[in-house]
Amino acid sequence: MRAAKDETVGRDLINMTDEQLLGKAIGGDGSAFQVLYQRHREPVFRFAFRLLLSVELAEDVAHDCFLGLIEQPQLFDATRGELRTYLYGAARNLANKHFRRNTRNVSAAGLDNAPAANAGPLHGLITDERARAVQAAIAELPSLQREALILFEYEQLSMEQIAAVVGADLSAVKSRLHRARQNLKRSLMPVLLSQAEQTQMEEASR
Amino acid sequence: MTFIESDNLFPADGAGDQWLGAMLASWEAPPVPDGLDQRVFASFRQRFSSEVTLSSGALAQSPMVFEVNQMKTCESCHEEFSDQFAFCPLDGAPLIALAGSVEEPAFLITEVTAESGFAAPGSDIYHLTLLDDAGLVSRLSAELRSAGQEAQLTWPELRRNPKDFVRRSLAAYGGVIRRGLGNPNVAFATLTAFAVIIGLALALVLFDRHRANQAAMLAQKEELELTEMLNIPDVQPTPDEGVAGRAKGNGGGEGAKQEKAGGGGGGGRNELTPASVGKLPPAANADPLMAPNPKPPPPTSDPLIVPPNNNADPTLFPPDRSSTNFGDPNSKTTATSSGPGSNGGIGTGDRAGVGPGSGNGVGPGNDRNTGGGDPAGSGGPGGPGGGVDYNKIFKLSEVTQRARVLSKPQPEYTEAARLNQTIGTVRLSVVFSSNGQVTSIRALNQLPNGLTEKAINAARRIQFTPAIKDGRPVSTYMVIEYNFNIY
Repeated sequence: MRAAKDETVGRDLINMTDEQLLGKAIGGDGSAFQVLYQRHREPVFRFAFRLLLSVELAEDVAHDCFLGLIEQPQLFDATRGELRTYLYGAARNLANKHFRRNTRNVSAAGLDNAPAANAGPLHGLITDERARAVQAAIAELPSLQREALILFEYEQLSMEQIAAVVGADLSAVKSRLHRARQNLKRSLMPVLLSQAEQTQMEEASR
Repeated sequence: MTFIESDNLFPADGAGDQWLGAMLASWEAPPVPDGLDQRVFASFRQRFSSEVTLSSGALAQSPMVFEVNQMKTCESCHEEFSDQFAFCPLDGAPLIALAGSVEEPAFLITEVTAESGFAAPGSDIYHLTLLDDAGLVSRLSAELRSAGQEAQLTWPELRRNPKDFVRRSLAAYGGVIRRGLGNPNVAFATLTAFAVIIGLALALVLFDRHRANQAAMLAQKEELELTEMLNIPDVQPTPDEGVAGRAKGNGGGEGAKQEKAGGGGGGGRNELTPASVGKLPPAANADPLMAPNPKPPPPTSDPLIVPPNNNADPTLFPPDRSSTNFGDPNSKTTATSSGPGSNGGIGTGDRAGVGPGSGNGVGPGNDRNTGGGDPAGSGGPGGPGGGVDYNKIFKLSEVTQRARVLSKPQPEYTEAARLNQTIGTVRLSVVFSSNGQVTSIRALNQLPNGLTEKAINAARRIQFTPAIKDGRPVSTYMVIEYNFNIY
């Protein structure tokens, strides 16, 4: 009977909004916090990873984001935007802080955890190479263009949401995004062409 | 792969963007590491001291993990307190756990296995996370503040019973250290750290000592090293006879040791009083025709009467141009006298010299020159001494005062040059010699039609006062220009 009751409580938690869960979590409710964390951990980590290109650094940033949320919940203002947007903003600020402290930009160094596709050796190789090229090209972008592009392309945020995260005008976000895409096209086109050539040669040899 | 055939490679939107989207999609982010969940929940637990446990497997499927709050009650006051209290803060009675307060978690947490890569939920694994960047000063002040507060709190205790307080403090600190060292690997790490530091210090000391030893050995080797065999002859070569050197000058001379000049002379006119004081007659490398006499000779215009001299190297006795009478410079007698010697001269000796000796020199020796004993060759080499050779030709920058041209005759123009309209400049390098003549004339650039010769002629007729160096007239190089122009 107790289990049934708890299940109801759990379902209630799942149906709660982010604000409600946060209210309970900062009151010390671990379950509410866990539900909240579960909702946002992956996007926040993903975003931090794409900004920093390091699993360890992204882990640090994601941790600090959630820690900041429970330490200083008053900083989150529900009237100004969603919790997800707030967390993205926090992750962006922490990543920028890291860049400032280390005074270097991201490098397209290690792509050790690039996902290996399993649709055949050549295809896997091409996908892997393509992923490396994409990472390198994104890493080369100026930071404002990079964050706008990641939020738009990978996190599927709307222009308005991106503007809220990065704290800029809608028009500025649009122009950053446009320039980021232009830059990417310019740097990725040669990769695509060479890969197309490779595939054609492969097919011809068969 | 054929959708990129268009010339316009970068269309703003539409089909051209599809390939970009496909490429971007190939870059996937890695999965969230398990350590993140651990860290976040450890932080949450620390913040609220609540029991939140989790496992990565449980998280994936069932996000519900319930906290377990155990409460305790006091039997005497019936107040409820949290689990961290063992005794009632109000009356000190032991607290009893409430039987019904423990909630069972709705979803079972699976045991974390070794394969999942992180420790069991019970063990606190804290990852070092900098929450804020407090500066050194602010952290130091906070530490000092807390230390001050602690001191304020413990001061009455210390005053009441110092001995006991110290004992308890020591015990407490000992306990802290023991607990600290009791943690896994702490003792080992501390020992290793000490060993490393001591090892480094020892290595430094040894290295320093080794270097000092090496340096000492090197120095010793240097002292004992055979660099050259010197062949010292048994007999030193006899120096050539020459002019006595004067150890004067700015540099150091090199050569065989100068021998002391020997010789001397003296004389007198058989007078009773000792020789009077006075200047020496000028020195010359010849026997005097006239012996020096303290009594000045009557003025005469006879060119045959030569002034007296002593036979000594002139470099030994610089000429004395004072107007005093001749005499013995070493005498104390002022009454004019040639002294009790014989055969002219001044002093107690014989012959035309000055002093107690016998000869035409000066001093107690014989014959010429000065000193004692027989005349010696007076040194020979050794003299140059590095002094300035005033006979050389100096540059303008080396002299104290430059030569001053008194008159500079202009060269005449030659008829041939006038006809040929020759104009230009003749530059001559000349020497204004110390004796007032223009010598060593050399044309640096010439003009035809006899103009160079005219210029040389004119240069020869220049009148000047020689340049002065250290009070002596010296020769200097000069460059003279003669301009030949037709107006």
